[in-house]
Amino acid sequence: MITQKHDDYLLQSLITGNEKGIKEIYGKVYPKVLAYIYKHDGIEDDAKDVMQKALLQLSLRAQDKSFTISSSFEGYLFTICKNVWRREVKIRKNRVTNSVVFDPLHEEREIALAAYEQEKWELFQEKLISISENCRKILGYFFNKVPYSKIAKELDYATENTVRQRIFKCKSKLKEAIQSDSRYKELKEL
Amino acid sequence: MSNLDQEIEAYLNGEMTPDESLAFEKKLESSLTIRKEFELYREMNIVYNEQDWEITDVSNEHPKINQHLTFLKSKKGEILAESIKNAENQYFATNSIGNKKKYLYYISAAAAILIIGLFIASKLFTSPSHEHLYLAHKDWSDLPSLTIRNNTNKLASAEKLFKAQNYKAALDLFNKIEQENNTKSNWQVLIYKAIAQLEINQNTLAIENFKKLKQSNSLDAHKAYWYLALAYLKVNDITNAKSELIELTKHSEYYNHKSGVKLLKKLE
Repeated sequence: MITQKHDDYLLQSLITGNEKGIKEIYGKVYPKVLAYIYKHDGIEDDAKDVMQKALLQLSLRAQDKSFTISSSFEGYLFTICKNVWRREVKIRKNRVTNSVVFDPLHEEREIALAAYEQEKWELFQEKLISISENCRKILGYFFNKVPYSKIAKELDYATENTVRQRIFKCKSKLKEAIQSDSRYKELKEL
Repeated sequence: MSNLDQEIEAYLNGEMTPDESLAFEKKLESSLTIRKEFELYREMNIVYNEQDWEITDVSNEHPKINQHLTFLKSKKGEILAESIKNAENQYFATNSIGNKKKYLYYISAAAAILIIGLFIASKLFTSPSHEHLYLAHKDWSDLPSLTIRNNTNKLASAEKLFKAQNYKAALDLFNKIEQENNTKSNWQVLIYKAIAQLEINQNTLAIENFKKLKQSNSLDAHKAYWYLALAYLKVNDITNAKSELIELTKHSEYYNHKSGVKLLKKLE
């Protein structure tokens, strides 16, 4: 319970902009983020950038009274940081010209978009957990581009074709689970 | 698994012949339901791939995104962003390796301020110049970096020149970038430019630029009070320096609020 209370304090600090609390968050999470970024081809400045964006994004989303975190605060924030970094990596890959002047107004939009994407990502993760473990496992391989032959070997399927059929079925189930959730419709509606 | 699902899969996996692809694209165009279905499959492929991330189109006007934007641009949003930056600075001030150097700097700066303060208090100056105060208080080390990642572009070079205190060259390069891109600089670049101007004694231009910053709706607009106060001290315009500081001391969330309070006391 004490941990929960402290987690609440950290989240509240982020919601209200309590610098003392946010500094404590830095102490807890930043070293992990830095280690993660180093491991994934980033530099220290990237880690600082990711941490700032993740904090602002979380603060932004947590302004909504109905916002809750089901895991630990630290774990949750770290997940957001990892996702922010994935986002950055993808953007860098996509960026054709690198000489775009960094526009602060643009950054606000980036954070707003990232918050929206994170929300969708969380919904998709929740739905993945809702299907059978067997499906989750095989789809985990599939979405991460493991070849059918290897999946067959790992999960003991007779042929690649059986794997293929199983994936189709599981994917369809997952798709239905997402589609039938009103939050998905809400995220897609303009 | 319906036929449609199989078709979508085949299309996404690139398993269709050109003719089949074309036929499928026509089908997509003709039906919103099919498009929605297709979109979800596409999303799943990206969202569940641990090496990938689904980037929303920048022009997306979803109400949630707009709502987020409105908040970020609100006063509260700006203050929050500032608090996070402050907390970060505090964290690194007590944790970074380069700490010692900074610490020494602060001590010497504090000593300088103290000495100057004593001088003023004892009224040793008949016609005091306040440039000392400018020199004692200027600290450009906390300016946010202009480039997020790529450190080979011109903006990064200009920033490097600035950091190396080669202000004239930095200013020239900033101006050149503006000309080449045929755009006005963003506010963060403007701060760099104005400081560079201040450092090479283009004081009037610097003050003009800081005034522009103050009147902007930029996230950094509040920083203008501190910079303007320093600029006015540099040109020995105490009345204006004071009035900037008075404004700064009214808002605890503004940049360098605490230093502003102290500096104002010294001037009074």
